Amino acid sequence: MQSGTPTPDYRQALVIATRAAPQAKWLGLRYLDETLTLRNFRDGLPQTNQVDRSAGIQIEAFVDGHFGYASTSRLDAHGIEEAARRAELNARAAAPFAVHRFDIDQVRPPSQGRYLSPRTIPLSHVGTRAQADLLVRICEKLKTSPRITRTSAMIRLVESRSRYLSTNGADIEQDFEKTSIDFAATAREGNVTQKRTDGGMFARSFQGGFEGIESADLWERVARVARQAEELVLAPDCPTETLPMILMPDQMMLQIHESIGHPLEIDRILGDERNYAGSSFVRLEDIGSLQYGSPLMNVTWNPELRNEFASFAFDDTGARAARQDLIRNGKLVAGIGGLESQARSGKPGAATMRASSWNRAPIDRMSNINLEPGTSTLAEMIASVERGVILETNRSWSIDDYRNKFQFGCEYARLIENGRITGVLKNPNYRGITVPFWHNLAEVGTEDTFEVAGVPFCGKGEPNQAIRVGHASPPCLFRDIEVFGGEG
Amino acid sequence: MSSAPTQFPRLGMERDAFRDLAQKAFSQLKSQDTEALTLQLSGEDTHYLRFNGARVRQTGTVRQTTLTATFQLRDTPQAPIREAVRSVELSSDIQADGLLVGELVAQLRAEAQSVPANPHSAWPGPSEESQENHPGQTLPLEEAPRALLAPAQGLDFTGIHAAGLVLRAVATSTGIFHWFTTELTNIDYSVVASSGRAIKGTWAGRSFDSESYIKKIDAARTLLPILERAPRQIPRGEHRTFLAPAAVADLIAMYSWGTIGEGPIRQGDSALARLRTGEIQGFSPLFSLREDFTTGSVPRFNGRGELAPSSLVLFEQGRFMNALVNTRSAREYQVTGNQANESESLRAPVMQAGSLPLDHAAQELGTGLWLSNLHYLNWSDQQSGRITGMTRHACLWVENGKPVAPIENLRFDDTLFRLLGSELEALTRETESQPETGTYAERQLGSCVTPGALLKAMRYTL
Repeated sequence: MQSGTPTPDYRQALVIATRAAPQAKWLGLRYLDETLTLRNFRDGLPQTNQVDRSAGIQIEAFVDGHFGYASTSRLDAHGIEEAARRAELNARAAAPFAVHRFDIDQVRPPSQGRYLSPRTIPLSHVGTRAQADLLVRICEKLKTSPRITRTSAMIRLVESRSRYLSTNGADIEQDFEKTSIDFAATAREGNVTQKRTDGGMFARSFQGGFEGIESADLWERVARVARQAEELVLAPDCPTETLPMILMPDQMMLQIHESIGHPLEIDRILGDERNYAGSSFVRLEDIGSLQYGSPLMNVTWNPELRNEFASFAFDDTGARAARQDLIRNGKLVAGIGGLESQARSGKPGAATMRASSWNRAPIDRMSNINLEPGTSTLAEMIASVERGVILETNRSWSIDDYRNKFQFGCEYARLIENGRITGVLKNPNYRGITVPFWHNLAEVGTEDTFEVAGVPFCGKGEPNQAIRVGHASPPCLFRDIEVFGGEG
Repeated sequence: MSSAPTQFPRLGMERDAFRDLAQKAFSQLKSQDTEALTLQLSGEDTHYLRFNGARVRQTGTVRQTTLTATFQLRDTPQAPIREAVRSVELSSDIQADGLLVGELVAQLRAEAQSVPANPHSAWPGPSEESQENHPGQTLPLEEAPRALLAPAQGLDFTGIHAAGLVLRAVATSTGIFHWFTTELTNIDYSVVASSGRAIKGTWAGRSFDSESYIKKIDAARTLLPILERAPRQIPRGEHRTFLAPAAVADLIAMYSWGTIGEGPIRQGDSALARLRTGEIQGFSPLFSLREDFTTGSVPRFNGRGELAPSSLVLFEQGRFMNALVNTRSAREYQVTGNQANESESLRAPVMQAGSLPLDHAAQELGTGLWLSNLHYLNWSDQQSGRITGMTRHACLWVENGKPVAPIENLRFDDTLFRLLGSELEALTRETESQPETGTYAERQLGSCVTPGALLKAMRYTL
């Protein structure tokens, strides 16, 4: 952490807040100090070379069964005192109009504990010059031929430290390091331009130190991205047909995120998001009964995979996080809802009320949502297809506000004919409707094909919040999918 | 409430305090010829009240002031520039913030020395000042829940109220100093029918006005019955369509997504690249679009402290007149810049109105789809200008000029060149201003002014 903003005495801050808000039955204090480093190079030249540090406190006050909050970057006694008064006033003024009267013991547990991200090479051990040199080298290696007209490489590094204290005894400290890397080659041939990236916009997002950036397979991936960009500009468009389709893990991530993660969020089902992100086709009564997809479909909420992007020990209300099933053998068994949504709905959920920063209140977020491995190897899946496609790497995503009708586009596809890969296809897209789509899940990859990915910017909430989530999956085969190519 | 509203201190960063802080930072520079500093200030003191079912879901206040410092370094005035950027939260404590800024400059100098120079980076411009202050009156915290929700009792009323002071400022070591503040209330809401379909609305103003707010909610209330009718299943294919102004604004927003900027055009991402080379025909003569800062909803200055023209024509009667060009792109591609922002995106778009009276639009549509809003737009083929997205909220099937039923949501997949080109039949005489209500990290400013659009056909795919 950098110098500059003094680290407050949290316990003293809570004492000050308690004095300033005497009508509050309960107070919570969440301090976050986060440093985000962004470096982005294009054609070897720096485009962004930025370090953002955000440190602040959110105080929550509980009055008459309702919460009010106040966030401030002023961390001295005056700032804490004013925030506490505002939080109490917000709670008091809104309590007569509250959507639900909460029981504080049910929704703010007095948890205590610590969490530290795993890290082999701490981010502080790799300086600006080394980071910049790496990005320049990636750009150079991507430029493999005159057809490559543009190269880019970028990293995002997060160092985040939080402390959560409450008047009922919670005391939680969590210390995260997270990394994301992306690079891309754009190739041009005639009037065709195609861009190939390393798994999509920062899909290579992990928890941990710089080992997530400079990994053993980095240069092999760089070479592949350059090669595939050149393949794409010479490739035909994806055909317009209904075909079997294999999605590789970097596209499964998006498929899971949009058509499983968001519809299962209980705050969406309860209507909180209807003015912004949308609602859900899932109803509360579907939890425990809806056959969401084929029996091969097993989906978990898993904050315990140590290198997955959104692993943690406690959410931002102090709830302890532990792996649990969401969909078992295709059947929906639990939603994604924190303690407040569980209290409002009476349904099982998960420790998943998280805030994007100190200036936003926690809401239901999906954290790590994974599709568990099955029994098919990738070779077996390909061999089982007479004519079909394999799609990799998301580049376009759109789904309706009830999470039914989706259309997703990918960067790179391959054609399968008679059980063999026979060519590369550009501009692949596919569309479908969530539940029928998941019922078409025909084969799920084995454990050794299971890959972890992440998303740094999942948008939701009013006020808006962009948060980090993780998804892991093997490749999967779906039958009878409408696929199509580009052009107008 | 009978007692007087509780008073809280203002944001704590006034114009003169920022000037003093900036001078402290500039005094750390070793030489005006070889080092430059640009300070951007972005602050707010916002009351958020989130509601669902006309009840309060979450409420709180956010007080933040973010300082973003860009340090530039060159060996000589002709040499290429190295650059580093850092942002921090200010505390509003003048002494503490002064210390913080002092440390920033040293950190930035070390970082700039560690990265290569970029020959396209530009030194800050010459001395220039501006000041805009838009005062207003927001609801006191005590009164907001009742004032906002009492008029909506009996409705399933869902959304967000965001109100308070928003501040933007830029100061550079070369003498630029711009200051912009506005009090602003945005209420972004949906009145939801029991069918789940909704009337979407926004109320925006510098001072909260109960009368006009209640009028808007009551107007939504009268539109609910049609949303309760059994929905019509519309088959895939092409349908005659009317896009209400908010739906047109969703289309215009796509120009900000790697399309209207000189960078994406030159780098081959933008559909407008093909328009420039003549591979694709242009837009309808009805389509004209400009950036217009005269409404004062957003500052004219960008993050470098450059003042954009008050008005800049982008499309004139279908012809592509100007891309948005920031100073870095201007240097890289050897073209004239127009003080666009870093991402070369729209900040104050105004689309020219047509001649179709809005209250004749259903009649002119005849039989087809009336779309109030679009949702979740994305490129299905960016270089071809092809977009996919969904219908959302109060979308209706119209027969012989009469709305008859809501529709099951439809997915469309069509191109900007058709929707604002070959298929564009008429634009409404009236325009609507859609306020920017985004709040990622901080409150965003601006608005998008659009008319409604009558289309001969729009392609629906699912």
